[in-house]
Amino acid sequence: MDFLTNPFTTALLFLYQLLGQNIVLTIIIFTVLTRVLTFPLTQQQIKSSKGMQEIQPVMKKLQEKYKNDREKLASEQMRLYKEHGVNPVMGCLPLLIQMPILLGLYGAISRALAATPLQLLDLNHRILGNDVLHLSKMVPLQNQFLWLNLGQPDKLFILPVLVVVTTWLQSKLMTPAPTTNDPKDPSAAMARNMTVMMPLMIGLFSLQFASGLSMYWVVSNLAVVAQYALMGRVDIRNLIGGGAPKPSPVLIEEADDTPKKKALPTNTRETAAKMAATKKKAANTASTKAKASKAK
Amino acid sequence: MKILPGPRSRFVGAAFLFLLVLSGCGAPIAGESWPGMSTDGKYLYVADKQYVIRINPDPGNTKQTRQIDWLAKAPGDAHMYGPPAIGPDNTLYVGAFDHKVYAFPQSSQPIPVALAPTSTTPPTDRFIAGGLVSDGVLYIGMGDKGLKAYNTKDGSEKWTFADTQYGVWSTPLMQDGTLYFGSLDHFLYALDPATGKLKWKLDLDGAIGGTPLYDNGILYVGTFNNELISVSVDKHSVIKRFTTKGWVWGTPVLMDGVLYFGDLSGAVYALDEKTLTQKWEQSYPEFPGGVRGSPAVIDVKDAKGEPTRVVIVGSENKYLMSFNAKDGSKFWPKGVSEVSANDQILSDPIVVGDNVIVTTLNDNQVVVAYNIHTGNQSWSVNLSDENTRLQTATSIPLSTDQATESAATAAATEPK
Repeated sequence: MDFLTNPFTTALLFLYQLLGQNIVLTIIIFTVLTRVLTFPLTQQQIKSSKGMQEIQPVMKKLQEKYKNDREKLASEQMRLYKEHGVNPVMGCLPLLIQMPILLGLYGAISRALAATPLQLLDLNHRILGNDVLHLSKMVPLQNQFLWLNLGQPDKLFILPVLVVVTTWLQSKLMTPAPTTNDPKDPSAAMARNMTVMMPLMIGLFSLQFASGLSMYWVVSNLAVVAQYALMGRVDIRNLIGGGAPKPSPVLIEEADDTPKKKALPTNTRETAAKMAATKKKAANTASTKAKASKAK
Repeated sequence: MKILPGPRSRFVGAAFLFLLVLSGCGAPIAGESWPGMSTDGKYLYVADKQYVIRINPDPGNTKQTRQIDWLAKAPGDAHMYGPPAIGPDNTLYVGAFDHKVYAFPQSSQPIPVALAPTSTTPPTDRFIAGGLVSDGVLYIGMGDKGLKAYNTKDGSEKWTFADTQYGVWSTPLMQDGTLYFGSLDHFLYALDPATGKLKWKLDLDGAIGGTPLYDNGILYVGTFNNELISVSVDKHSVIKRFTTKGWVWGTPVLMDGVLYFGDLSGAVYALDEKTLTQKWEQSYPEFPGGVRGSPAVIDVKDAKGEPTRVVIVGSENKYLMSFNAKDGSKFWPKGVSEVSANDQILSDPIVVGDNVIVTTLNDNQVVVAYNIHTGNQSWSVNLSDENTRLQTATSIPLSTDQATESAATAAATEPK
């Protein structure tokens, strides 16, 4: 990961120099900047996720219907994706692209806050272009902020608590609401558990992290929530009531002449309505033609 | 049948994967420090992790693996890396990562004692530096800021100097009634050792990680701003600056008006003491790695029996590197030692007889001695877990033979 960590470390030190050697401000600006730069990827990921979530009920029906015919299932899924303009790969791809960037950022902060001789020695090898930028002058970074030594864990446990709270807040606000309240649904149950477990795990790790890294986590979580809020994707219902399940889906049965109408999620309902309207129109046209030929 | 996971599961899965990568698969963050080593002229003392060990470097001993002569353990497994400071009664003083300084009596049942446990100004960070004992007082820098003085007689705190912005990571220097030390806050400090009051300080534009060298009213200090600087102690001002290729962490060595030192780019320099003009600069690009410690400068006889001065430095490249002091040319045939130490050599070397002795980051050979003439490994010391366990199980290792016997006895009585 050196090819990522080293440029990020150099950039971090450069920013630190520009911002008057204020490490807290540097971490905040650096994290926010990275989040802003990766925003198009995040946006793409959110859109794709949302689309996937909306077609999930229909997908389930398809899976049930074609459980013995994988080929047909695959073609029906592709048709569904095409119809809704959804690409399942685009849900993961932006995340995969962002991951190395975030790893580089994380690595840079942890290494720049060198708190031991070996870490400082390691930092020396990560500063690029020192002949021009003279960033070695910045070493070591100011690591005192309020009660914190940013190179060491927070002894008052305030930052770890903030890490837990903001991670939980982030996952609650931006995770799509469950499509069902069925307690037997394993994926929903796992998601519910992980929403609680993940923040606790990260919080546990942050007890050992340098508090500068915990600060990065908090800022990063808040930046992601802000990004989601700007896109209107924050689901407050998730926060206050766990999110009401979306209405059951409908699958337009092609073999059946009379579609079974059930409650639909907004997007799916629109699609179904359009399809129903098309069918009705076709039926009307056929009936008019029949009447006309009868009249003749 | 489910082909693709739901979006919620995917988000959670991705977050989990991210966390896993962060915690496990990312490049590991470097560890703590390298073993610090000091000598009283007879024994070598090494602090590494939770142990302080004593080694007899007896040149007459031809065994490849040296037994630990004596060993003590810090309470609560606190880690220690500063070169042990030796008190007048042979008590060893070592600062630890648990924010305490321990006194280790060199007895058969060494029970470490924390200094000034009821201090009203307890240290707020780990101790990284080695201490200096002078006139019954131990002076030791603190990892986050400042320096403390303790009375060695009763372990009480004498004074605390807290007016540095960053840590003091190197052993201070006592010269003509003044205590000198550099700090990572870029300043060189001069204190009154009796009171801890500041006499003067000077900004050198770069973090200072090594002990200053004093000669004839001039201090020589290396900085992380790629400089070696000479400072007048009378005028409290910079005399000359010499720009290097990398950070200068170690203390330079002065011999016959020539300063020898290395930097973290891997280069070794010889400068004129007065003018700081370069006599030579040399490195071995085929063995890349920085020089953290000070050099050892030794007068020996070469293969032809001619007196020669040789400069030997440890390197991150796991080898010792040798140079003719005259022109920087290779002294050993390959330039570097015949055998790698299996890990980085970051300590200051100590010369005993025909051996130059260093510490490494490798527990299996925490101390390694190399023959000055050939660059071959003479002996090494193993501080691996099993060895340590055997030693501590008996708590009586005081001489080489006793240690061997007690280790063997412990091994024989150990339940399988």
